[in-house]
Amino acid sequence: MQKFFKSWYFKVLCGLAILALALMIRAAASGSADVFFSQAVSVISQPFLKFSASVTNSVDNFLDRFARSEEYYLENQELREQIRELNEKLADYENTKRENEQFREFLELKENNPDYDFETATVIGRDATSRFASFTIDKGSLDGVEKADPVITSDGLVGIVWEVGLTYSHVRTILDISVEVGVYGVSTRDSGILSGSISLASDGLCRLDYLPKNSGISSGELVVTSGIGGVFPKDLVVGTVKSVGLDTNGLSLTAVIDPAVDIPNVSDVLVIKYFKGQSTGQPEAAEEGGEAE
Amino acid sequence: MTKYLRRKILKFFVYAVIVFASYVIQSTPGLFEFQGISPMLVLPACICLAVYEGEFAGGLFGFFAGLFCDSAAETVFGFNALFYMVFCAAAGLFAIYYFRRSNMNVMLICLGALFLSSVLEFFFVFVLYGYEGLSGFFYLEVAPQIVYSSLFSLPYCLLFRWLHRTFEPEEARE
Repeated sequence: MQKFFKSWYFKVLCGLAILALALMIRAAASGSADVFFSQAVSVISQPFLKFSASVTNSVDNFLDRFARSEEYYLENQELREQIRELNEKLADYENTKRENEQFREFLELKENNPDYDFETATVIGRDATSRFASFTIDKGSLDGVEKADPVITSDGLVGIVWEVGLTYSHVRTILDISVEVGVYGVSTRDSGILSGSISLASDGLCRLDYLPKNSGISSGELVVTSGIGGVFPKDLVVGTVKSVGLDTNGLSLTAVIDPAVDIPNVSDVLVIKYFKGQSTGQPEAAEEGGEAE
Repeated sequence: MTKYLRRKILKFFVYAVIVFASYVIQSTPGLFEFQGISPMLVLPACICLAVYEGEFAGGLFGFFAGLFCDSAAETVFGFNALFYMVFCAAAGLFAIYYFRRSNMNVMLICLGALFLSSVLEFFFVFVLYGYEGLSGFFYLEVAPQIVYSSLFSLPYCLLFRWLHRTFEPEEARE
């Protein structure tokens, strides 16, 4: 042992001990580690520490999958259930939002026409073979819907109730050749009979006949219901004039009308169960396809 | 350069790699962690090195390994360097003059060094500042860490003994 204390090994170690003490005193005095030594240590060790940490994390994550698989399974089931519930809520929300928007429009319509007695209805079926976009709604006689009641949306006229069941009704649209509606041009006040056309129905258009030959009606003019006959309320928007021309016999003008409502794609409608000036004996009127107008 | 010197350089390079790897493992969060306790690996590694390579090599390795530990420790910079060097030099001397290099003796030396190091750190970092609840902290945190770390001294002992015998020529062994 004495040999060691007399050797230069001991002196070197004493020197290192003094250096360590000096580092401690300096660190204690300055309140921080010696910059040179700590930086040098960091530069050397940081890459290895990062690598080691990343490897450890990877291994931990790998083992964690097996060690906590039961927990993850239960958590997964729970989250799936939550997703299902949230999807249901989302669907409810979207439906409610859509209904809210419709009701807002209907409210505006009701405010503008206080004499109207509405029944809101949803399109529940369309006949795939129908050429005139006829459809079925979810309201029937139990809801007070009657044959020949006008069917509209907030944008304008859609058609007429053609057949009524207890909880459903069939609707024929203004694209249908069997439906005729008395209308007039808002600017010219020239009136005519609007009806469907086989050639135009596929394009979602209809035809306005019996316009006076000297009529000034032109493309872009707004066409509304005349209300004559009491089947449709007066001044319901029908559509706009797309083009005008002479009819086949050359005695009157005929116009192509672009309906205000996107009839082939309508999904929610209003049935007007009563309006001021509505004719009695509606079934007969409807039988005649609104010819009373 | 003689073959003997080349072997010696290679041997100490391998030792340095092992000590550095021990530092990296010790500093990596979660690695070898048990019940929230991370082991101290650098000190047992240096102690075992000192037992087989003597007080000077052990002291040098203890000093530089302590500097590495100081870079992330809560103690003042240089604290671990000083005490690791002293412990390793002492362990080397004890192994030469007072103990046989049996596994049990090496483990006891490691346990003693870990205990002294931890107690000193505990004293200077916590006790001196008069924090409350220190006894619970010592028994629940410090003491288990000492015991857990000492378990690693056996593999280090076996490793350094094997390396020492591998690199040392037959005539130089004790």
